[in-house]
Amino acid sequence: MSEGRYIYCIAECSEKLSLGKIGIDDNDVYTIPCQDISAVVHDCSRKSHKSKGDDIVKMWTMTHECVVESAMERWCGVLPLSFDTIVKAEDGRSLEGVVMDWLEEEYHKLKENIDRVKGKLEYSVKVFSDTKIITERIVKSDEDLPEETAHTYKLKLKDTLRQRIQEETARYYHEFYKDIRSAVNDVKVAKLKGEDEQGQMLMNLSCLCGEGIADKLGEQLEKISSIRGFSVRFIGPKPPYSFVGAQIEVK
Amino acid sequence: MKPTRNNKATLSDLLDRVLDKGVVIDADVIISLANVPLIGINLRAALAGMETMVKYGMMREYDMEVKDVRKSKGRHELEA
Repeated sequence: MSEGRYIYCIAECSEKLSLGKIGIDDNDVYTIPCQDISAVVHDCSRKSHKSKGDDIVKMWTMTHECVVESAMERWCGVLPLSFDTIVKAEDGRSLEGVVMDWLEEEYHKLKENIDRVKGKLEYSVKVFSDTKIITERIVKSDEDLPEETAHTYKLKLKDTLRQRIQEETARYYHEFYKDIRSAVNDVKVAKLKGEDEQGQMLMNLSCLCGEGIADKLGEQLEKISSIRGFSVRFIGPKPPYSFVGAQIEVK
Repeated sequence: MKPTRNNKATLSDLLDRVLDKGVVIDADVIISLANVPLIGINLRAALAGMETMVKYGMMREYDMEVKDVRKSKGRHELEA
């Protein structure tokens, strides 16, 4: 017998219906409605998902995301929940009743969060810089750089260059951020992840875009990628995980 | 420029999004990783988002258990 309900997301849906066996471990995913919102769930045990290896964790998290994406295809307002949120039954109450009571109690808070992201999607924008090209550009254009090649001057050149590269990339960062921010509904800045095959990561952003906004963002990114020494990775759309508010506490 | 769907999502990308982000609910009726650390030892060590997980209570109990073990170990060592 199932003792818990795994919640994928809260959707703007007022009826009880099945989404099919699309859940983690092929579980049947369905909605538990309360007023005009529903929890999108599957029946599960009370146990949390414990890892049996990287591949399995990857499969679980991918399935979680796929279910949220399926919900977004059906309903306009969807609030994605973090992985492995399981509701348990208390004091002999039915699980469905517990979920419905919880939705009822938190209705206004959930609705407020849904409205904030309704009709909007998240795009990941990563800007990379090619330090070699930027360095060459500085060397060619900067007259203050020492020309002598003796050892002490080489050291001085290294320090001055490092400083110039930092100044130059900071200038580009602010310029790019301003252009991107003006094109989209909201931006969250994520941690930089160093260098990969595309170069040194300069920006790692999550952008919230309403209808037609992604095209405007694409135009800005086109401009950035046309500047020599910079490239852009533009991925999406995804459920708006970064814009759903951090934590919902219940009294 | 048109966006692409990331079909080669890395585990790190997925965890960043699905674990570190999304609504985290703190309620009595939610189990949400009460006893079990979500991810195996090897993967946990590689996770950069550990602080966030502890902050959101995901690994609070595990964290406390580890600290308790360390404390009692330290006490034994002092007594010995």
